[in-house]
Amino acid sequence: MSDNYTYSRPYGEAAFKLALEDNVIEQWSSNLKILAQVTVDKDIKAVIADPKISQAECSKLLCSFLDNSDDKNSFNFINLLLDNKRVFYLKEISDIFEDMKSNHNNVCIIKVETSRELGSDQINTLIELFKKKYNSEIEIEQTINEDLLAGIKVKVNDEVIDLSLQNRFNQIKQQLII
Amino acid sequence: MTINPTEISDIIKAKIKEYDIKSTAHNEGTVVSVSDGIAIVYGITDALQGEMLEFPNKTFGMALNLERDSVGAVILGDYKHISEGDIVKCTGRILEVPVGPELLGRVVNSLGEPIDNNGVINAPATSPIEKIAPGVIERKSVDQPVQTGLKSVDAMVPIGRGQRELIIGDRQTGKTAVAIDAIINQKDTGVKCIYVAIGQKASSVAQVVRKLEEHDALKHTIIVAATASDSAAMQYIAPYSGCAMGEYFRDIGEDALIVYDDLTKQAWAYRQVSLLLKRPPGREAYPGDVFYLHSRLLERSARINEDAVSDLTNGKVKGKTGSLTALPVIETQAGDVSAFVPTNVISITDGQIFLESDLFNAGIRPAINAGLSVSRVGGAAQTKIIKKLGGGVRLALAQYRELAAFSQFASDLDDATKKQLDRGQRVTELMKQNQYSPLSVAEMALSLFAANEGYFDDVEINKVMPFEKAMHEFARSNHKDLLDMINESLDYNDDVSAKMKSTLDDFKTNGVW
Repeated sequence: MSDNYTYSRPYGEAAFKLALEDNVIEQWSSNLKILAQVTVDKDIKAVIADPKISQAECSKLLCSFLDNSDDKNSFNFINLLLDNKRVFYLKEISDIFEDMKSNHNNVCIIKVETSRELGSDQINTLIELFKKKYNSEIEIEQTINEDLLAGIKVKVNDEVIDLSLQNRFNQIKQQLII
Repeated sequence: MTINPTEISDIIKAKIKEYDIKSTAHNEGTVVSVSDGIAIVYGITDALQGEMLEFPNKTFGMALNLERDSVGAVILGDYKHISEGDIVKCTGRILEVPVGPELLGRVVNSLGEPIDNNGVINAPATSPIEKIAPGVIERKSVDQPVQTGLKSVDAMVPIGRGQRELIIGDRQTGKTAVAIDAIINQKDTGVKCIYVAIGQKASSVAQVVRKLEEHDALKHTIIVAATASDSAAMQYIAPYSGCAMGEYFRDIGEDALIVYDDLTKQAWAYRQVSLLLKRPPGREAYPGDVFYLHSRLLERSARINEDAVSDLTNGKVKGKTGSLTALPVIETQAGDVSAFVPTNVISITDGQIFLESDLFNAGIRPAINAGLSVSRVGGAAQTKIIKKLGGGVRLALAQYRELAAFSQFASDLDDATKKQLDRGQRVTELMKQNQYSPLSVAEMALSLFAANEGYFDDVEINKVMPFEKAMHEFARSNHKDLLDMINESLDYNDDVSAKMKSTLDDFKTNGVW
């Protein structure tokens, strides 16, 4: 997995630079997301891996999923990936593209885990707090995890701030173990 | 092990009282793969080189490879319960081990956890296993001896406090025996000892522990054991853990002696870890930094001056120097000292004790090759009396070696050569010493004096050892004051020489052997 990111990075960066030049970031973003989803499908994988099916046909197939299937750059990008046998790294390429996009837009994505759904005022308070901390626009991704019992767990990139009851219980457990 | 119920509830009570929950932010990553004790972790982009990583179930690992999108870590201990997708937390700390006098008399693993079934170790202090060695300013030159109690070592390759003296030789040449004798001889000297066993059989380690116990030497010794069944990572860090424990004594102005038995196996363990981490192999498949592996370890053995001790103890200990003497052990293959690791360690250390299987098989034990063994700094630290008397022995052995080839023409040789050969044979015989029977400075001096003055010349070669033994016993019972005086002053003068002469004359006329 980690190696995949290393191999995918130059493709993600190149795609982003191209999208930035042509000012079509959103379009590239949605295209990459679609392609990432398509290439994890078992049947599609089988088609691409089949030696009897030519590369031209494969690229045609992949392009058919895109909104603007006649875009020259997208077509070339898919061909390049097929040439270099990196087409199965599209998920990672899309991730890297998204990272660069949020960096470019000065948006920080914050993953919030709670045991119950947060109210809109609570989300607004969180957004205000993190705006100050990270000095950027905040986008919140909420997930529900009942194992936390209560409290909140926040994840920004690799950094984790764990304020859940589950974590507190774990700490007590460790301190009581002799 | 019996559990005292009140003790347990007291501990729980104390724990509840000081119970404290911290809500801290930490970095997290996920395990991508685990194999052969190596985990590849995705994420934790801020991990530090050598940082402790926390895996599930309180298992720890050490970050060794920091790559663009992943971190390669060795898992310390069992790794069977770790699987792909597990969460890994950064701890922000370099690996630490407990240090202090509480560890004396105990057997611990590479992480400082007790493995001798004698209960928990309540050592309040901890120290990181990797530390930078003392700099030039903090150091003091080596001028005090470490007495090993072995005639051949103390007379010919003296070791000073703060020195690094390599013990090198093939398998089964008595390397460990020399080191263990040195530890036993530190019994009442105040020198604390650390014995680091790397990649040895657990039974060998148990035997060493038993022998030290038998000779009442365990109470001043810490044993750090990473046996052959421990993971390569544990074997790799064991010397650094032991060194951290020794440094504690050095830094509070005491003297310590550490034995690394042996560094060849540590290099093997490091080679295994490095190859599994996909670092490029070099000569003999060792990684590129195998020299640094040993140099940074052995450089930490040093003698530090009074100011440094005072600084390190915040002024609590004044006017005392501290030292950590190292006796690294290297096992050669078929006497090949020009292999990669032996040459490296020879060049790092301040001298070597070279043990040979031919000598060992000829019954010369300790099997020290006097010609190849050297001590580059020990001379300045040698006790005056041994320095004075040992010179003659060295010379006699050197001359004997040159003439030994002619010994088969005994009948055709002139008297002077014959005499030198006879003297050499007797000195060689005199340098033999049984295991676990270290000699005091005075006893050693008496033997060397007797050899120099020719008291052995009319003793049959196979009677030299019994003669020496009887001589020591005679001196202990009839001339105890002389032995005490020598042990006290460690000085050599005309008075001492005259007294030794009269003692030996007395023994020759009245003693039995």
